[in-house]
Amino acid sequence: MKGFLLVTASLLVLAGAGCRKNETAVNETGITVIAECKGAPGYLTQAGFIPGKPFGFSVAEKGTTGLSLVQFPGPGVPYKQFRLPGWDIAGHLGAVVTDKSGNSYLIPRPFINTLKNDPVKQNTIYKVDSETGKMTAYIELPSEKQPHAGNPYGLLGLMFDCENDLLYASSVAGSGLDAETGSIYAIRTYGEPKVLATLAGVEAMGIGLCYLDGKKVLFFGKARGSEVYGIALNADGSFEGEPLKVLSLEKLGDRGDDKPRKIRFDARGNMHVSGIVFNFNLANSADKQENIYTFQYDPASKQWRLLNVRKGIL
Amino acid sequence: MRRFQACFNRLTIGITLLIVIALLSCSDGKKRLAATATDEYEKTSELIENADSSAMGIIELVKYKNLIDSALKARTPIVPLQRALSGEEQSAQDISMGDATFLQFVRDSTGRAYRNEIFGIYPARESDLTTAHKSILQQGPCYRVEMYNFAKNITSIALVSVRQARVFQAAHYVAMQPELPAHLRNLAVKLAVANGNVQKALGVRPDEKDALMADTKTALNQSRCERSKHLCVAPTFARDKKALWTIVDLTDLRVAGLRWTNLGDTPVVTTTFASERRVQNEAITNCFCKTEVGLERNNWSLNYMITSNDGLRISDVVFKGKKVLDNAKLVDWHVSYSNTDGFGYSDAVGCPYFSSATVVAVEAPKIADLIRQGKRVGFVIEQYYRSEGWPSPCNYEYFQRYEFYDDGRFRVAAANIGRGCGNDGTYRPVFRIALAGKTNPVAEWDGEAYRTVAQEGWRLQGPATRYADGAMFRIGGDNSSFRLVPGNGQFADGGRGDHAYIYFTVNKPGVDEGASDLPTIGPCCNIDYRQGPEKFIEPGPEALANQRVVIWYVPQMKNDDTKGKEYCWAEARLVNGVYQTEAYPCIAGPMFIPE
Repeated sequence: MKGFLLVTASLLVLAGAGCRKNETAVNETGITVIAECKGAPGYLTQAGFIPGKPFGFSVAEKGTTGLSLVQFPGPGVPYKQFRLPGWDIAGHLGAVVTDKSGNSYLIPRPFINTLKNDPVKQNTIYKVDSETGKMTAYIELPSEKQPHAGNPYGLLGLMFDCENDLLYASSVAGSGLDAETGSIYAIRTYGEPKVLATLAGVEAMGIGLCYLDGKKVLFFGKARGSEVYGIALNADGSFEGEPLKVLSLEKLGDRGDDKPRKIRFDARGNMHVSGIVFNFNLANSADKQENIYTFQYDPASKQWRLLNVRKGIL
Repeated sequence: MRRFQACFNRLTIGITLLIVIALLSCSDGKKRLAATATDEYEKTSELIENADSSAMGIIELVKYKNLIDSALKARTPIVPLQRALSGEEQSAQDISMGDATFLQFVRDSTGRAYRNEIFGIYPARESDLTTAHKSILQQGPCYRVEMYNFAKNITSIALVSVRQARVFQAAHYVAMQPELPAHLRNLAVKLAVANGNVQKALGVRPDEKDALMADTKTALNQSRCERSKHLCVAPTFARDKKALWTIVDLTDLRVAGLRWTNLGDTPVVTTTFASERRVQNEAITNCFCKTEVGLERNNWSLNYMITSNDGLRISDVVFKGKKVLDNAKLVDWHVSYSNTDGFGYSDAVGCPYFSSATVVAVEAPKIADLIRQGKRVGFVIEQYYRSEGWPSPCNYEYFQRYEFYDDGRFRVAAANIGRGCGNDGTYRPVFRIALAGKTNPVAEWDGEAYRTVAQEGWRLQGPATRYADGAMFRIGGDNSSFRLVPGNGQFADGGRGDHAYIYFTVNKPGVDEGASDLPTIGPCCNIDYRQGPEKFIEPGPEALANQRVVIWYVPQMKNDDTKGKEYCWAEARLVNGVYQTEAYPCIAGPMFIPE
């Protein structure tokens, strides 16, 4: 279905999903923007939404836990929420990404407390089948250290690379004060799900993908710091070489210590990084404190330069 | 008297911070980053929670406070720019201070004055003007007047045409802070230099000229007071390869914290950002979250630490050489709102880094004398936890207090201090208390005698409860026993009664039923005994005879925002032009009296 719009609510971490090389080349900056891959799910017909009107996934609908599909209110369009049984089995959720066929992949993320998000089960990716709409555990990712009560988080970032049907997921499961044991996983989604490559020893939250000077690069924001790193990817989606620091949110914005929650690119090749307060706890502020930092790539100096900072949720 | 918290201020630190990421390749598709990103200076964070008495002697501070007092009483409550002004600048200031739009936020809705100050007057630049106003710049001198509102953390900017004698453009920016005027930069440096903690850290009283970058905008060293939302700057003192950041809170006019950072290759570039929140988090984590702290006082000895999820835990509590308590902690806060069925939160309290705490510790534990009727009768350990937006709605402050009396009594208590999401809230803290002893026989007062409690179970403190000198239970230990006295408003601390659920569970050897850090034990909104501890009782209660016993104590406090009767509540009040919080804690918890 055309016009399938994936919109996420305040807690959702939605990385730029999929990538079509040369779809939107921005030659003057060296950035090739990657389009998101969003197939329409087959179960959509059950939702009873008004065709052609915007709708999307939400993980933060009031009074619900888990996934919802929401048609957004507008002129002549009432708000409507659609849920299928079992869409709450993962507890509170973080990111949602969708593949070409309309299958959705989701990661759990605790909210306020761990009642519905057992800390030992936060490293499992869930899938909503495009045809049946059934949510099931898709793949449980290994963590180098056992999850523990001191760190309620596991998976934090998720994106889908449409070019080669790979999921990238970042996790901080098992990390603690004195041990940075997180990983970024490249997971194939064709056939049985399988981890193809792992970048271990890094705590990443937001992840994003684009071509930089013709080379596909995975950008990731540190969960423990304010920096954004980039690492080149091989043709098979595995990690190549060393990650390089590309920018930092430190001293920027009204807080100065934001952590990069999400990374996306616009059609002009600008990088948008959403920054939040994150200290591996479940502290929650009534007023969502999130800034969007926009950076522009300068091919001459190969530096990302800050264009602006604004309040908002990416 | 200033309190000063530092646990690692004697560290010898000389290692330049290097973030080295080495990449190791593995044959199984796994690459491993060997990250050496440890910040050697994180253990130097020091909290300074109260004003420094040495600041009282700073003449500039006294003058500035007088200036503020005068401004708050003035018709237009604004401290004017503190430097000599040209005629045009004076006109621009006067014009702006008469403009209703520019003055929109100088008072609250009831007319009380905020603390406002003109921070700068500059010739207007073309980039300052909207397109519609650009032509005005050609018609005569225009100025940009910047004003800061300390109470609301708002910057107001007026564009003034002196020739037209009007403000033609005005805007207000929330959470934005303008460039400091010189007198505040100087005052920040003076506060830093006079501070005893700074002198102690540097080993010498520094000169004012040693301070770098007190200005937040024009200098490299910026700082923030993210939690208090105050105006903060960081005069910085370089020593060899490191720099001491002194976070000066210009809203409260005091030094808020210190932290050493690494100096980069050039003398004025530091590689770490020090701020109020970072200093608080690091100091609390390093001093109280990693290891237990021992305390000996008034015939008592004990250990304490802030846990990840279970608040401040005390352990191995000994009175006059005899162990009386294995440990006690605060597992959860259950908050339910009666006007909306099922609406509420289960909050854990604990450490600021790596925890499941919803509301984290923002201050160090405080140890103080316990005063009753003007006499010192023991000591207390207190711990505060606070949401960043408190006391605005849907933000919370919690409080723990352990009381230790010279006569051997002790009390495990906690309070909510508002403000929550409504005036229909009920707060239910969940305490876990493990008394010492090889066995802990439990007996309940039935109005005539103490009767043995034979098996695991719970009781509700209610109107029909019988007390023996205030006690509901007698709990034995090794050759001793304590009477458990629930709160009934008798502790002279504002508590109005606990209405507590009290549970007894077997403390089984080798079985972890809450002894380790507990994740959330129960949902927010059960209004009956199902607060979590029942999961260690049901479905088959075990016999208590000859067993060690854990007491779970869940008081229930209903909040109240009625004027004059506030309870579990907090209000922000304007004091000297800035907001301060008026707190109405609802404190609850049992007293243990030795027999």
